[in-house]
Amino acid sequence: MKQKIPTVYLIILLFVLCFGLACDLDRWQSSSSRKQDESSGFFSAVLGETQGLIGALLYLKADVYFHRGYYPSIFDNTSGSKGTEMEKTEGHPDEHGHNHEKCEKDYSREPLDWIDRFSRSFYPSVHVHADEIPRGQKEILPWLKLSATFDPHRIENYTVAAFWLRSLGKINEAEEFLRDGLRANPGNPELLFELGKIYKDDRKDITKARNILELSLARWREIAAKEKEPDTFLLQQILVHLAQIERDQKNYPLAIKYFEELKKYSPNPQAIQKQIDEMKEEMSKSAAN
Amino acid sequence: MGVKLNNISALAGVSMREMYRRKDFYVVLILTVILTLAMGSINFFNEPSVAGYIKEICLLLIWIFALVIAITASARQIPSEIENGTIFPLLAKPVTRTEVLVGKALGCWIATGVALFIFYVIFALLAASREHSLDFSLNVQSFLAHWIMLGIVISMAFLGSVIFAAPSSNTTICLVVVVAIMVLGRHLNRLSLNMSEPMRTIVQVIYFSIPHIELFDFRNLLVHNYPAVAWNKFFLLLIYGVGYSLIFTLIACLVFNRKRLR
Repeated sequence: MKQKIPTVYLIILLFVLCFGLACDLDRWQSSSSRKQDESSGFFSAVLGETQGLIGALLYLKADVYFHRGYYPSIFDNTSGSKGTEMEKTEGHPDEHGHNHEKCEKDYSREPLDWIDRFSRSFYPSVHVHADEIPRGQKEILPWLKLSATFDPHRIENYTVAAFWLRSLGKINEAEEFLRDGLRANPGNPELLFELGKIYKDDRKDITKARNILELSLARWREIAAKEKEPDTFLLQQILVHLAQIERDQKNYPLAIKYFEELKKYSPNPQAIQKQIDEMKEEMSKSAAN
Repeated sequence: MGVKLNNISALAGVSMREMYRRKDFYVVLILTVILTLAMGSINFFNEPSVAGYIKEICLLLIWIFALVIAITASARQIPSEIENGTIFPLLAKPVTRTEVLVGKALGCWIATGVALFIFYVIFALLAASREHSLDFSLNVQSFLAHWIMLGIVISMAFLGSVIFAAPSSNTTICLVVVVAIMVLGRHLNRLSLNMSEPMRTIVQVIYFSIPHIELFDFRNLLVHNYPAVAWNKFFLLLIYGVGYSLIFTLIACLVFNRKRLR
């Protein structure tokens, strides 16, 4: 009994010490995390920096599903690929188009031995993309949504998912998901651009599309002013869509202004100049009448 | 090393009953169903026919739990008999050590097969309910390949149980070996090309000697709705798997026959 009393005191002392330490750590953590990110939720509190890693893995999983399991491992050499195929091509296919014959995930090679040759019958060894089978692209979506849940600041999750949702005719879902992205990343020009495209191409609401695309352009300029190498590819896309809207609305001076700016960055300035000339001709014709 | 089939079947029956009395299987079955249904209840963009991610999670759980059940059950069979001293009255009966080992291994394999069959039935029902179609051939092939793969793992665990002193060390070693083969097995030969001698030859010898259990993993085919594997190649795969199971079982019998039990 005599021995038990000091043990009880020791337990109480340790408990008080742990409780005090926990309170202090909690105060310190809440103040530091508030500084880092106000919008982060449950996953941020539980996982900390790991959530970004999980988000990246889930995004990679979406890319695996896009290639229907035909995916190189870390041991297979691909032709120096950076990023994912989904993001590079499917993210903006209307500007680029996807070349299915020259996919960067092609790692086909001659089998080294009989085991290698034999094993190819038991795993996906034919390269087919998810969008080549009817509604195959829907299988990509859960991974993108999960990735966005873990890492809400990964913009590709929203833009790629919005593209595939639009291709499936799910315009409301695409808009809702992009708005989720904008809530987590207020004023992001890429998300605003995707939203503008929905209003322009799917909802045919030109006024709203113009407003959103102009906001996207303004936000791009704000960010670009702070960066050494701004994302001119996004700028080109915004300008193309804005110029198209103004041209279709017969607002040629503004359309020409956008096309003039686009010409500076475009790999094919002659084609843009041709469009400018056509509009100028149209303007002079209408002035003559 | 003469064996009597009725002795083996009796011993297999005993170890099967022992496995079913334990609650491991029921727990993991309920856990798999709950986790899969929980994932399946999530709404992704109002698209109810999305099935890939549920199939992937369900198959991952099946693979993990089947491996854990098979290895933990097999690793403790012989050591627990020796530790409890029940091996002596057992061997006093007209049964040989080979019959004891083969009977117990067979019992574990059949019991794991029954558990695996229930898992695959649940998986197939789940996939069919989502996709409104079912590739019966590929599901059968996946189950059989998985079962044969577990046969290799069980025979490996039995070999480990007559070599290593404690079931815990045997379980850990078996799990590490199986996971290492699953991850690296297919790539060892390619990796060896970047190595210098003698490491290159050593890695190549390992590559050609190990049982390539990763070949029995049909999950990618199931998840991405590929067609069934050509049956001639599939039967070759089964023969390959049965061959390795027999090799490990025979070595285990040889070691067990020479082992001093006290």
